[in-house]
Order: sequence, then C-alpha cells, then structure tokens
Amino acid sequence: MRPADPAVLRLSARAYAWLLRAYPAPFRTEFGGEMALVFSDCCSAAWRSGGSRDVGRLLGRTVLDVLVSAPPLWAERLEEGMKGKRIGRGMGLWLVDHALLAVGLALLVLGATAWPLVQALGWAALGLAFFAWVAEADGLALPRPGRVAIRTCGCWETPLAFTVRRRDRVLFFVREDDPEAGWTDTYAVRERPNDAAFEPCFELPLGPRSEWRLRGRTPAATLLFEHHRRVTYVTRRSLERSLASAGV
Amino acid sequence: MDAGRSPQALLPLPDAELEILLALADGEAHGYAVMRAVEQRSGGRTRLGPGTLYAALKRLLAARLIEESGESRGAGRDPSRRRCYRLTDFGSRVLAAELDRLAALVRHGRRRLRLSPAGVRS
Repeated sequence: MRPADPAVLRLSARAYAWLLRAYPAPFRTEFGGEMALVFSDCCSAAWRSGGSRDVGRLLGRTVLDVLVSAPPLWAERLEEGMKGKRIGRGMGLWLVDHALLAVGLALLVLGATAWPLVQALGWAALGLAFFAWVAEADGLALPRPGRVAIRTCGCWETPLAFTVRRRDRVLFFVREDDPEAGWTDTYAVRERPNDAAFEPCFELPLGPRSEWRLRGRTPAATLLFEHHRRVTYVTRRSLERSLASAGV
Repeated sequence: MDAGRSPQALLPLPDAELEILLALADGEAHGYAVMRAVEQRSGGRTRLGPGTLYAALKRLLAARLIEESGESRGAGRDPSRRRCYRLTDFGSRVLAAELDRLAALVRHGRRRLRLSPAGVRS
C-alpha cells in the first residue's frame, strides 16, 4: 500500500500553485483555491492508480491545460481593460508597448506562409510577451518606453504620494495638506537623504526640520499617470515638465 | 430574468461547456465531481483539466447557465469546502436546444451518408 501523502504529491501541489500564476489575478482569486483542490484530488487518484508515473503524466497534462486555458482568460482581461481605456492614448506608444506581440504574430504569419523556421522565433516572441504581461499583472514594473514606474501611496487617479527614482536619487512627491480643504492639487517634491533606509509614505512627518529636503512644488495637473492593475507609471515627458516647474 | 433571452443565441456550445452542462443535468456537483462525471461519460476520452474546467465554469456562470448552489465538504478526512454548481432553468433550455441541434446534425449526416441508425451503410 502506498503512503497517503508522499513527497511527490506535495511537490506536485507546490508546482501547481506556481503554475496558477499564469492565470489573471481576478480569476485566480475567484477559482485558484478550488483549482488547487481539484488538482490535488486528481493527484491523489493518479497516485493510487499508478504511483509517481501517473502523477508525472497528470502534471504534464496539467501544464498543457494551463497553456491552453490561460491565454483566452488573459485575452478576456485585455478586452475588459481596453473598454475602460481612455482613447486619447497615443497609438505610437501602444504599438511600442505591444511590439513583441506584433513581431511575434508577424513572424508566425511569415513562418506559416514562407519560412517555417521563423515560426519558432514568433512563438518565442509571443511567449516573452505573455510572461511580461503576467509579470506586470503580478506587480513587477516593466521598463516601458516613454514612461517611468513609480511607487504610489493612496493610489487614486492622482496619487496622494509617490516616489520616483532618478539615477541615484529618490524623489518623493506628496500632495500638500491644507488643514481646511484637505489634500491640495499641488505636490511638494522632496529628495531622500542619502542614508534614509526606508521608503516614505504620505503619513511621514515632513516638518520643517525633516531631513527630506524640500526641492520645490509642482501642480498635480502637470503629471500624466498611467494606472495598470498593479503598477503605476508616469509619462517621462510630464515628469520632466513637472520637475522643471518645481525647479529641480 | 432570462425570459427574454433566446437559447439559440448561445449555440453552438463549446465542447467543455456542453460536457459540464451534461454533467450538471444529473444534479448539483462540485468541480471535481463534474470532472469525474465527464471522464466517466466519455469512457476516459475527454479529460478536463482544472484550468479548462474552471474557465468554462466562469463563462457559464457569467452567462447564467449555471449558478452556485452552496458548498459541500470534501470526502473522508478532507475538511475543505467546495463550491457546488447547478443548472439554471435557462441553462436547461440552452442544453436542450444544443442537444436538438446536434440531433438534427446527426440525422442530416446520416441521410447524406445513407447510414442506417446502427451506423451501417445501406
């Protein structure tokens, strides 16, 4: 009789928990727990019927299942996201953002019609684009042309505070607080002291003796934010404009 | 709420969704039970992976062909709770319409190939 919970089942469960990251976060939140339970049931059944060989086969089938079922869910998410997007966004930036995807598709078409070997490159580009997309959905800021990733606090359309890294400096933008009117539409720009070991947030006491040097002020309207699900960017041009107006 | 919706608008159903609706025609079930029912019905030829299964369940829930009917405890020592699903009235109508469509397709195919009901060419 085989032991009820061998290492191979635990390892498979861990591997599947990792594979679940290929699905969009809202789908994972809603169904991820149940999917892990179902997979664990399947693993136990496979272990009882054929031991680790059957568990290995099941894992192989499950990897294929993830590869087949995850892309349509991401496509649905993209479609939902596109519905909410502002239409003023430059087509040029959109194309650059999706260059890997576009190149991958072009290579696939080229491979299908002329050079089959090119198809492998097309699949590689699509794979990279897909995993970059997954990474960003998981909160990893990707380098995007024309934009700078920021760490935000109180992230509404116009964040209450955010930090942005410029070469070796960290600048902290925080909306000024008016005792009567609340948060104003002006950012105070402060620079992090060299030995500061923590990231600020908008509750940070920034009194006159604070070591976070005030470098200037800039209206929030000069900054253009781009909110993705887990990462926020500011356009490089608007950042330069706001820093210039703050005298930094 | 679904009185004004036509089942025809959702046809043809993708394979996974048809299999799930067929499995739920017997009564409510949780994800793993649906998976096993599909495998048994097809004699092991159709196996839904968890991703395919739950992506299809998500679409069926969104289209209101199925609904959650509560939770059940796992078998044996398994203390985890699982969501159960059941067909809605509209889901039953869509399933019936799809089966009618498939039956008509089979009849038409048999006539074209001059096959007797037993599958022997006459």
